[in-house]
Amino acid sequence: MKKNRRLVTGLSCMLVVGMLAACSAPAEQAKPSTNTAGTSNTTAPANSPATAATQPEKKAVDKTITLAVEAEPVSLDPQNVTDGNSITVQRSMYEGLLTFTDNMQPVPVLATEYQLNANATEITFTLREGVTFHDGSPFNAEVVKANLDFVLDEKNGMARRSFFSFIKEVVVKDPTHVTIIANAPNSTMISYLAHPAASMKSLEVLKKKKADPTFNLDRNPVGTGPYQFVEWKENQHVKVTPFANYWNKEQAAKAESIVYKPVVEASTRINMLKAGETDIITKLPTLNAKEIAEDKNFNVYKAPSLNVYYVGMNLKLKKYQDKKVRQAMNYAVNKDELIGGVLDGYGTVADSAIAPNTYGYSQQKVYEYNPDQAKKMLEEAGLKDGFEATLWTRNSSEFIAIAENVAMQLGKVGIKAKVQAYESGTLFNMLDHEKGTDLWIGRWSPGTGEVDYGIRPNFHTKSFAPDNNNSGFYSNTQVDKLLDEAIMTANKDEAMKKYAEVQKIIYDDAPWVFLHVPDLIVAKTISVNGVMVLPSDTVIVNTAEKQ
Amino acid sequence: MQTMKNQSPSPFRTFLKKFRKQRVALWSLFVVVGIVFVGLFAPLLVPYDPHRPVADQYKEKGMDASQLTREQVSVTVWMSDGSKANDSAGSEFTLTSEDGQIAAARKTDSVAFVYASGEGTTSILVSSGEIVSRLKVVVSGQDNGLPSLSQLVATAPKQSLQKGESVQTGVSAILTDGTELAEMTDILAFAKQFEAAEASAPGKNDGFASSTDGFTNSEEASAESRSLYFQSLTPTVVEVSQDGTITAVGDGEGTIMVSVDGISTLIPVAVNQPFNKAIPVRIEPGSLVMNLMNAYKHQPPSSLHWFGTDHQNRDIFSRVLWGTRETLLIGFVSVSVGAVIGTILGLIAGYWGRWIDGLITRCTDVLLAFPGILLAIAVIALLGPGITNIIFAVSVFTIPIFIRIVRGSTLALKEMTYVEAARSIGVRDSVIIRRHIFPGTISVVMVYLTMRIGTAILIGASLSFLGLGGDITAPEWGAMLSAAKDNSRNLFHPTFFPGIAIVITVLCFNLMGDGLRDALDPKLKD
Repeated sequence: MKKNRRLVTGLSCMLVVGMLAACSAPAEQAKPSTNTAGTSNTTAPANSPATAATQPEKKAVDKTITLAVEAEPVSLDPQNVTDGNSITVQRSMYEGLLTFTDNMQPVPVLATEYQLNANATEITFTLREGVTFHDGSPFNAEVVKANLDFVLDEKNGMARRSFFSFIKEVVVKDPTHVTIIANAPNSTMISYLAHPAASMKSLEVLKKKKADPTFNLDRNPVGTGPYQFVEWKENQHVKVTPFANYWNKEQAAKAESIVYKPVVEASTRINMLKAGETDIITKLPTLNAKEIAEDKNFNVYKAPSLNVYYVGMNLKLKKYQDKKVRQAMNYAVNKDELIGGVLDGYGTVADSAIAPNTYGYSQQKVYEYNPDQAKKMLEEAGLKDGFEATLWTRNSSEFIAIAENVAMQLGKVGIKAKVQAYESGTLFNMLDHEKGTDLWIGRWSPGTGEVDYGIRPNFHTKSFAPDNNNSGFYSNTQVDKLLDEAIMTANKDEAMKKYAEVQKIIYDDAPWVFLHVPDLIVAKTISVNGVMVLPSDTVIVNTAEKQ
Repeated sequence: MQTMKNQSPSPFRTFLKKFRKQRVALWSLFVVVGIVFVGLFAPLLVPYDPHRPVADQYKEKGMDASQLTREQVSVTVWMSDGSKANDSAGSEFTLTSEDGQIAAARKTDSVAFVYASGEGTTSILVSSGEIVSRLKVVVSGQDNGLPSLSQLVATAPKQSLQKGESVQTGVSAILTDGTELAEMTDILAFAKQFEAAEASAPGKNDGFASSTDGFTNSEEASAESRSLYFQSLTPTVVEVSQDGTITAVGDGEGTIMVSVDGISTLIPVAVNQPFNKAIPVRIEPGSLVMNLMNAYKHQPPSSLHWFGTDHQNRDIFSRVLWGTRETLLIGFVSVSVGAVIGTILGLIAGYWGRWIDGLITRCTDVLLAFPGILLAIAVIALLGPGITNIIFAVSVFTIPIFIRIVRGSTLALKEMTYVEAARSIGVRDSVIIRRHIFPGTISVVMVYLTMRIGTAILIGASLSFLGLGGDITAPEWGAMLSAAKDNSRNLFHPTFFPGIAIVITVLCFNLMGDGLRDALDPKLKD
């Protein structure tokens, strides 16, 4: 008896203590920094060397802009990465011939002007003079050729090789003029060359790599950007400091240094921002965005992205071969409820296969939520009782929530979709090799910000998986024809007309359930200014400064 | 022991007597029985279908489904001659929401809808060409109580003007609460009233640069937009001063735009000629204030939903009850399987000894060297996710523990005189094991069984928390925690209730196990 009573008391104590500990955990995060600051101030004598040393150091630290990014960069070689996160980290160090403005228009940077020939097969750049790399070597036409040749060489195994596969030859005319010749007419070349993947590396590092195959380009970034590389500490940070000989004095670096910290957990990023450990955070979860936006100490940036979320379907399967079934599925999903419910309103309904900010976008008539219509169409297609399906998704909570919502909505019209989550690498592999593809939640963002890259990889017959992203095996000769014609048309307006036609056909054919275009949400402390966010999900802090 | 002198008590009765004195264990037993009952009858007990959003179920339950998340917008367009416009003109308008995180508006060819997406008050601007009206949207009853300007009404000169002639226009405004401001000064005073409040509110995209200008693009609420502003759209025909005096300067038809605080109207003016046709001047929204509910998700606990709703608006109480089934299934089945196999192998190893004992013990050692959860993850990785595989995985690491304890007590029991006696008269080994050794191990097996159920439930929940449980959308406690963990900063109920369910279940099984051990221990006297 006595023993038991003690047991009860002990247990209840443990429970209470446990609960208290759990409750106070978030508050404690901020505490240590203030505590240590407080004690060091009070205990140390006013004129001790310790405080004297910390004072100027603190000032220096203040001018450092810290960015919490969602993952460790894959590489610091612009031609060897395909993820937006790595690009964000690289942007302060590298520049290309062209770059994108915040509405994805290509504008010259290291080139001063460019000229596309009449049949869209050649583009000639006039290069800027007086540009030097961080290692002191000059920038000229030879560098451009060496860079593009390097990425095109299969031996080098660069991740972006296929991205540049449209290039046939790079011809150096003189030190300030270079011509890029394409394999076939390609009016979208300009956008490709404005992509961060076309950033220029120093000729010296390429030479080093050729001389010594063990030389690691991923870890030795040398570009022409306003900041130069200092260090990359695994899983801790990448640090860059201003480059003194930067060519563009107007856009010169204003911060003492920039530190990129990989922080995988979104909630940790928020805590870091709140505790002042970081100045800028990317990929803010929608539920927290509002809370942060209401806080006077932070600014939240919100703008439509280039991402389109969709439900892909394997058109090889009999059940999806009838267009009516595919359209019925589009009618069955209430996109507004998805945006309101899962995205907390941070998104818009996808009214084309590409996002509104994409160059060449043409708005289509949305499949408005209409379950009765959907049921009717399913009945007409001979699937009155619906069917069973498997819905694949990535295993991040955002993707799972979207898949769950879509599955429940499809369930209302009798389509019983079972959600299965996989790690993204596994999922891509399964889609590429058609290991039981049925339905899947997909996301596509054209890195070049123009329509061709938004549509061709997903809907052209030649883009069938595993070569490209057409994992649903959608094939429409008319779409293929229009796409092929459009890319050969140097006249922008005519090309765009064709792309608009393609978008109309695709939206009507409904090879996807078109879901939504999410907003980009980036938050920063009020003391940092001049942060730029591209719709392509890149955060640029080149001209940012901290007060 | 105070038992009857001449009759040795039944061991079971002694056990019962001892167990009944374990107050905590007894209570735990009751709770466990309750949990098992809930698990068995979950389909009958749940108030809502745990797989579907509750919003879809209100109607089936005969509840008032007035929690509208969207509402259709209808408008009436008034023409300058005082008539209503026909339908075709009335459909050409666009909707803009001032805060998309509170309510979003979208218009398609035929219908326009306003959707709730957050909580609070915002306004929707309805515009058609130069005419803009406003309607207020209140989501989830979070009314800020402030009316705002909805529509402007300008009195236009009825007759055509002569060149050089001047007229004074009158402007009145309608507020979202329905009151009318008849004088221009009233409108101005009203517009100014909120200037200070809005200026301090954070602007959009503050401090973020745009590449085109290189500077921050903070939104300015310019003084101009705040005050009543007159603008002639056809300066060759009419001119207008900022006090509302219209002066005709040329022949033809002209229009004047009057705007304040984002809304605007038009005044048609004809000079030296009659009016050709009436133009639309005002858009009147079907309702000035729209009340929506943000009933998409995360409803807090209420009498309707005891534990609130989750991120897909499913009833957490129903999901927790439903989750009991899977949890208990994993707990009972996996541990029973593990215990049966473990006991058999333990008996064999302990009784026969020699090489077979060596083999089994070594295998046990190998399995015990893995942390339980790691072993389970490895099994799932091999077999793929799913409840059967979870059960299998949990059984696999339950087996070696039972082998160990059963082998231990078998070794001890084997040396007992009654076993020796049985052997000496030639009883078969299988009979000795069954009749003389196995009953001796039962008490220790029973204790371990109850204790292990708690662990098995934890491992099962951990596996589904890690997304290895097969159906991640299933009402399963671990999966529920996993889905809710990202929002645990802001929201209490989606993580708390599944979490507490796990705690209570595991705690009760463990306490019961403790009580059993004490009751079954012959050395422990009361």
